[in-house]
Amino acid sequence: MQQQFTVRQLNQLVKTLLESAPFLRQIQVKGEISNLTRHSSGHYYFSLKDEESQVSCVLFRAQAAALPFEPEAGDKVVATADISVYLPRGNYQLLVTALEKEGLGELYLRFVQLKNKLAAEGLFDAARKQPLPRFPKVIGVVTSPTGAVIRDIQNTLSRRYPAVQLLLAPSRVQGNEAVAELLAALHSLDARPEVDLIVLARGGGSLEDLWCFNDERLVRAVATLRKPIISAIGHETDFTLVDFAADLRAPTPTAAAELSVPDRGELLAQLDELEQRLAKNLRAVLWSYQQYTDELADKAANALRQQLRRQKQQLEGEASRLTALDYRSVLRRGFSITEIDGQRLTSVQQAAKGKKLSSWVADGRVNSTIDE
Amino acid sequence: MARKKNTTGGFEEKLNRIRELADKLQHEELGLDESMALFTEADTLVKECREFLETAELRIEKLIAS
Repeated sequence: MQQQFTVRQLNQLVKTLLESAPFLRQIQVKGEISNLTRHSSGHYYFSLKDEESQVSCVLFRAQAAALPFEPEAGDKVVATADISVYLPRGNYQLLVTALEKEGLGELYLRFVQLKNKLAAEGLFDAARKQPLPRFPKVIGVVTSPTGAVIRDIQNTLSRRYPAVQLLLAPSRVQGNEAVAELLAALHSLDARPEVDLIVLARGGGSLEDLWCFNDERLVRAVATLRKPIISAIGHETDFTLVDFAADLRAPTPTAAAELSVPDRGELLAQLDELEQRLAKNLRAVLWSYQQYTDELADKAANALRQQLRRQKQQLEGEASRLTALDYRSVLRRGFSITEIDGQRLTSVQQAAKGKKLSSWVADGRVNSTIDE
Repeated sequence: MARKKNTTGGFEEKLNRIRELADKLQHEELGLDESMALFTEADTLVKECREFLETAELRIEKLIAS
């Protein structure tokens, strides 16, 4: 006779059967995400569907956290999953352990995963970025010694600010050997005390060509160099992890050269301006001294004039006093001075009959004899 | 090969000094002699900086991987 099952037993049997089938472990299923719910527990519930069919899926929180992207309804994905049966309902479901967006290669996924990991470590934080020196004297360049990049950098610096020395640390910039060479070049420049700034540059290329600039060792090295570093890898639209780790990302090697130095023309213009300012300031100082000495001269001249006037007044006062004292003015008023025996006659005691007198009047002398 | 000679030394310091002197000349009450001395110093530095920029030539040295 055939065995009778409870529903529960049946579901348990199917579950055991499905979960133990080796060919159903870690299978990859391609489909589109629909009916997506993100539960407050952090687990995702959704269906994978194609045009004809669908299957329920669970993505647990731990696996969801490791995803390089946030799943959304409509995403075409490849799920890596185990199969299980949900006993209460008797339906089977996929326990998803990894999700990849379809159409994005493995390279891209690795890129995104490494990027997320290093970002989580804080390697790309703005706080880690070093300021660039304004007037570098020695710039270390890591790039291929042949080709357009070093030439572009050279030309740009010659034109913009030739007052700088380039120290080229040559390295291959693609292929398996590149990472080790790039690391050695970076470290040798970083160790040289005269180097103010490092430029790591490479011209454009395919995703694969640029791939070594996503190498974890290289990214970590760039993030932890002692010297400031500008990266310029590929074209403007190319972003490598090295670019995120550098202190400054330049869109092209030429731009990196431009960003690394000040502009000579602008500096010369600044010098012109400073020179004019200096001359103007000096003129202002001279002018104020000129004014000051003019004022002093005016003051001195005034003082002198006043003193002269005072002295003249004094002199005139003295003169009129002298005039008042002059005996001749008395004589002019009719007085006279009389001398007797060579002495001035001031008393009758001096007079005697017959003596000669000599009298001074205003305009001469009168001689006379005393009668009595 | 000609070894590098550090003629670039102090451009930034010079530029800052010129600015400082210009400010001093503008804002501080200085004696005439001192003003003239500051101006002369700044003027010399301006000429040096200009010459530095105008005569500089890019120098390149290649590191040999050790």
